[in-house]
Amino acid sequence: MALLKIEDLKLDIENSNQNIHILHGINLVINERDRLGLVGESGSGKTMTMRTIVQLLPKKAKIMSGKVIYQNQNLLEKTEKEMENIRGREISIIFQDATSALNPVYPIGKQISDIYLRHKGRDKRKALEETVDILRRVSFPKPSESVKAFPHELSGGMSQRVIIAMALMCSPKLLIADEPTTGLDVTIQNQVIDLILDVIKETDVAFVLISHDIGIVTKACSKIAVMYAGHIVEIGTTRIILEKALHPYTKGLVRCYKTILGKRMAYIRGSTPELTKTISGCPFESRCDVAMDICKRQKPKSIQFEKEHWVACHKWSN
Amino acid sequence: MNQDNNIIQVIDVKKEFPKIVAVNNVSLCIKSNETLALVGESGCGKTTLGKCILKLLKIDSGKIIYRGDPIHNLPEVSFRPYRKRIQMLFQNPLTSFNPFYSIQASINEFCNLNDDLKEKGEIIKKIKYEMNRVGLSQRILTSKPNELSGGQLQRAALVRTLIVEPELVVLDEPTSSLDMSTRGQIINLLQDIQEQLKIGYLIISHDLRVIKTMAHRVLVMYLGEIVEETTTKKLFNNPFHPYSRALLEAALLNINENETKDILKGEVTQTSRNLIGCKLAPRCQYAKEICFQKKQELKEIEKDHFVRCWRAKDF
Repeated sequence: MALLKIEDLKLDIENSNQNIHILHGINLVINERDRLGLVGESGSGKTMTMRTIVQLLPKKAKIMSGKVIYQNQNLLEKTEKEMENIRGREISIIFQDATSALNPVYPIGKQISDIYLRHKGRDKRKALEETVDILRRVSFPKPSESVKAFPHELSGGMSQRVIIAMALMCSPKLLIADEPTTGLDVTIQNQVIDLILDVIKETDVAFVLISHDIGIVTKACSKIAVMYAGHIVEIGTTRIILEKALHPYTKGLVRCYKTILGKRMAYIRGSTPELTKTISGCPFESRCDVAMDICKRQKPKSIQFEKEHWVACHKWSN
Repeated sequence: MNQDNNIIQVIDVKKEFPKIVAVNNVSLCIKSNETLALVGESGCGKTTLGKCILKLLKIDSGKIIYRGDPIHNLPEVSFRPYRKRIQMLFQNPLTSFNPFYSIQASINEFCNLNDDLKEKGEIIKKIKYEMNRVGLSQRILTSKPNELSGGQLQRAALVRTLIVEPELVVLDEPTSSLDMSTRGQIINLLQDIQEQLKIGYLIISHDLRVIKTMAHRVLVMYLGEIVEETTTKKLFNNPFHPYSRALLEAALLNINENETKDILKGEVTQTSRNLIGCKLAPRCQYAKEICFQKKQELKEIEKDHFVRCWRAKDF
């Protein structure tokens, strides 16, 4: 069943000269218990899409059209007060840089229990118990003593555990992790992903992982949505995306990840389109090897190619 | 080994910071037309070692020899002529250009290092030649760094590096600020340039995909020490040290395979830096008593494959 639905979401960043078009009509459905990976390069709009859901957008961002439907309500029409009750309780986000997401002047125990006190009740002793319990669940060593620790005493991996604990404190229905492993060492990255998967295994929370690293997404997710320049170009199960991708961009991206000893590295020619320009055709047209006439003129619609596989490419429209 | 071919030799170099030994008795040599890779996680001392070679940091002990001349003790003034022979390409091109200068002005500053480039016409000709080589249009010369994309800017940085005709270029994470789809363009370009100019590269990276395509030899570093040294082929086909194996495993090089083994546990701590024995021992699941007590030397366990591990033969 659909837990959250994004419909035709368009978002601009207002600039003194001209608007920067970030999202060009995003349609995405997140089902209950989904493990969805959102893949794309920097500037493709993956973070903005997820920030729109929780209404944590930069001041200059302006939603031009679209809806975010969660439990039959449009989140874009909610007031800030109403959103505060949803964030952390219904929908949680794990941010990219764990050390800057924590407040440096408060001990971690206080920061975690604050979330409990905000959403679940005023009993401070109960809040502390729950804090210790959640720290134990994220495999924090000596949880009852480390509640007094300050963020600067923790390593990057440990800070990320605190953030995960905070995100899961009120057992949300949707957990969004925005590049949770960038900035961490490679050997720690796997530990953090394994931990998130482990902790959410017992719950029925839906999980969205935003990453530019296909490797990590394939490990953690059962479904992948590929974004390019503010468009979702392909959605499919992990296996389909890896082996039977149809969109030329997805194919290219997967090829970039497969390196063979003694062979040269694959790449996609050109670079991403400038975001200030209005794109009238397919956003990938200028870099695409199989582009046709129609690709310049008309935007491809997303079509369902088979069960659990959608693609937005003129080559497959007919 | 053919000594004449070595551009640079680093012998038993040690660099200490307060409380931390960043580089501990590391030796390496780089020949022309060869790419040597330094791999390891943040804090293992790979960038420090790169900076030591460029004399951006002073070493505490050991030797650095460039074409037979020891350069580690030279005062800055006498080191200047060597600086154009050894160049560095930095991680983030946006911060390695002056934001108020046009690309042309930034490159011009470097031209003063090259004795042959004194005349203005010469300089412009040379810049145009190098721009052509890296595939940049000359329009961007008047642009400021913030007007260019990451890929363009890294190419411009490469022009600046090449204009003084170096023999050795230290590449410090050359692609980590670039997108996956454009990363291959820069890597292929670097390989083409090596083929044309026969320069040596020291590539510092934690991206094993880049290492796999580019490097001829690889040094794996952990907390300031070399734990494994061999050819790229041998490392990727048959890694011995548990740390190298964990790195290869973590990089998810084979994205179709979901099964990953947990070779390492825990994280790097201050105490593991001060261990007498193997510094990886507290995190290694194969560690035995001897690993904690005694330090293993870098040992050749098969031809051209050096490993620092007591249990390397047991796997």
